[in-house]
Amino acid sequence: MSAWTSSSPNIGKLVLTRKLRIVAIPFMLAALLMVYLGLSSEFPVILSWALLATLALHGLCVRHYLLIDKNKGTLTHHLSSLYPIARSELPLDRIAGFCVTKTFLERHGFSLVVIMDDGQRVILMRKRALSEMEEHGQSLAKFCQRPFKVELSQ
Amino acid sequence: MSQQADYLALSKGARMHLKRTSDNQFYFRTSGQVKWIIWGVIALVCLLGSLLMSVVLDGIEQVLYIGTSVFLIFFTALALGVRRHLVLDAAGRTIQLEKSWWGLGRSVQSQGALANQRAVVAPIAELSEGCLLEIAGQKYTIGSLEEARQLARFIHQYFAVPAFDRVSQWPEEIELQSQRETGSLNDADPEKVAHGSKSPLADSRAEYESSASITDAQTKYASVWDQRIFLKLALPFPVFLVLGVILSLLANKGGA
Repeated sequence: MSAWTSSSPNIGKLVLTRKLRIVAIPFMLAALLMVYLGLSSEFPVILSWALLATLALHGLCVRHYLLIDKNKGTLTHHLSSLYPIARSELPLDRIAGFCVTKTFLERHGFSLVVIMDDGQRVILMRKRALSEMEEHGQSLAKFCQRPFKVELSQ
Repeated sequence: MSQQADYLALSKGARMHLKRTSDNQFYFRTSGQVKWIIWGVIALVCLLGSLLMSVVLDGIEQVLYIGTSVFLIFFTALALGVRRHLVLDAAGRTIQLEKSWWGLGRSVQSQGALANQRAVVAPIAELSEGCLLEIAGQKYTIGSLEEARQLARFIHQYFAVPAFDRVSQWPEEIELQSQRETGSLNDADPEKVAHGSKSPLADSRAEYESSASITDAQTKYASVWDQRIFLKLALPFPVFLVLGVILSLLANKGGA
């Protein structure tokens, strides 16, 4: 599902999308099959085909990773498919620590949050399982040499 | 400044949690009582429906609904009356759990000395801003950092409970000063006492923080999830719609 690799002592990468690629393959096959069998001109069929094709495209091409570069001193959160979608860079030396909390307004979901020097909270991952969040948080915190804590407000 | 005036100067969020009785006792509601209240409110909603049904219907159904209404009235009165208050007793210097039912049958159980408790101002990490107060195993969401600190100082001043702050230098808990002072370096965290090498880091960090807050503008760090991802993800959708129309035209023309 995701792997923490440390390619050099100063660069660590947490990749988050391996399972998603496998899930997208049936979507792509279904979209190609629909075209092969002939798309009928009714609007709902075309609409559903377009949706399926978009899902397949994004599922196959998505890249989502957290890159810690100690040489540049940044933590980069990168999300892109064919084209870049979102990217966020945090300076490593302003990070106070990593924290796992309950995702707001969700019953069974935990978030991994970075707490900065001035108290700002930057969410890295939302609504995932507690064990996964704790594991990622520990490996990130150990690599950046920052504290890691589970902070639940109930 | 008297205790009354100080209490009224507390923020609304703080006064919602730390309540005052007519004879100047201060107490908190515990989470046990909140759970009973939730059950009581659910039963109240069911009760209203059941009452309406018992008035509107006739015959055996009316009897049934009268029965459930009576049962729900008893249960609601029971649930909404449960009181589990955490009383701060300044005179006896203890924190007490007071159990009662609508104020009747009060039984007080001491939970330990006030000086052994800790009032900690902690961040609500799920939200982008907001702080809560942790005391005696309970957590109360107060509002902004300043409001939570004000409440912690109030409790520290009048009940001699040691107050800590986990927000300024998360995750370390530093002692909260009783007056307004920025850059407090008085660390009560036992880890810091043991590892002497860490305190220069805290000193330099606190100094950096106070000077940086004066000179730099606040840089807002945006998370990836705040950057309107859905719009960008939906961009290929019109492209595929057009492509789908073209393919369907090809398919039909090709067939015919």
